[in-house]
Amino acid sequence: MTNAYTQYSKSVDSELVQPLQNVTVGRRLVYVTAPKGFGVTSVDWGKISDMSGGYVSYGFADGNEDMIDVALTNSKVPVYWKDYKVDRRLYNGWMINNTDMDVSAAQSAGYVATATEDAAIINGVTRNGTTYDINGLYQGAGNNYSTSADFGTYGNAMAAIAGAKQLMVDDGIPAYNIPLNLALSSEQYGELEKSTDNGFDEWPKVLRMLNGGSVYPVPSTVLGVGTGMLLPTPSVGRPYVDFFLTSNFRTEHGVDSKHPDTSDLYGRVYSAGILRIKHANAICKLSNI
Amino acid sequence: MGNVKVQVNISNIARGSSHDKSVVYKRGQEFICSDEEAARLGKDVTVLEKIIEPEKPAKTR
Repeated sequence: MTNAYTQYSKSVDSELVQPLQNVTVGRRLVYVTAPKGFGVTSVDWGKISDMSGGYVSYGFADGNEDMIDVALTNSKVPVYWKDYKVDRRLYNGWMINNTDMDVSAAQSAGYVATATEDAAIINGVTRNGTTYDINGLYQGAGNNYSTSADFGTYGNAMAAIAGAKQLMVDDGIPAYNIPLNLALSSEQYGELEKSTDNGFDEWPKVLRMLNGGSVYPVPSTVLGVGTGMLLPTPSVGRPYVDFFLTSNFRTEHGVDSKHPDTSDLYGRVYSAGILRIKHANAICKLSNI
Repeated sequence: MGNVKVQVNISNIARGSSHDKSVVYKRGQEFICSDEEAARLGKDVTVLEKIIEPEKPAKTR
């Protein structure tokens, strides 16, 4: 029977993974490593806390080997998951007659698990809503453009992006030369989308400032209203931040052993991974928009 | 509602109104802001002290 459930799980996975990857926002904002295996429960990594300055001289001299300040960090890898049930008769129908598989329960659970993973990547992992065990992109940002710039007013989005890019460049991040992504709380995304002045839309100008990057809406339940952030796209952002994936979205199924032939199937959808912010100054939050 | 003195914990914080030029505060620098702004900045700043406004003298005619 185990093989039949495993086969069922594989079939659900094949129908589930692509839709989930389409809805995830977090994974579009950061470089995602290849899955390292669900058994990897922690990871060692280096966090750049400060860069020492360079030297100029007419020759090399000894004694200047000051270390780039890299803090070695060990992080536990969290799991993002959700349980669900599958009607036993639907399962039997699929097994006997190969009828269309009903993946709606798995898909609904998958969307919830995806939202949890998104929240972890974009904001962080928190139990009480205020203290973060693991910083996400917003909580871990090294720069904060907090100047009042309501995106409801034409020009403020451009001003905020210009200001954020300046903060990043001053920290040695080549924000004028690399593609950047802009993630906005859904309300600010809507304001930017309709922002226009005498027929001139702000949207294309914002896109031009992103050097080939994109604008992503984030549900306000994940990224609070009036906030957003600017960061390098995954194609160039790997040295600054990545998502250390240990398990891509997968499902497992089993039955209650008291009723092995008639009980509903118990399903679980899960993924596992951790955001590693190696250089926080490459992320600039916009906290007053 | 009152004002607090805070210290910057991150690389840079740019502050100001949309009409004025932003002022950038670097890690370790201090500034005075409203309780509200300090709450919005969250762990990007550490609240050092609450600013107690001196009592205004009573109006005399």
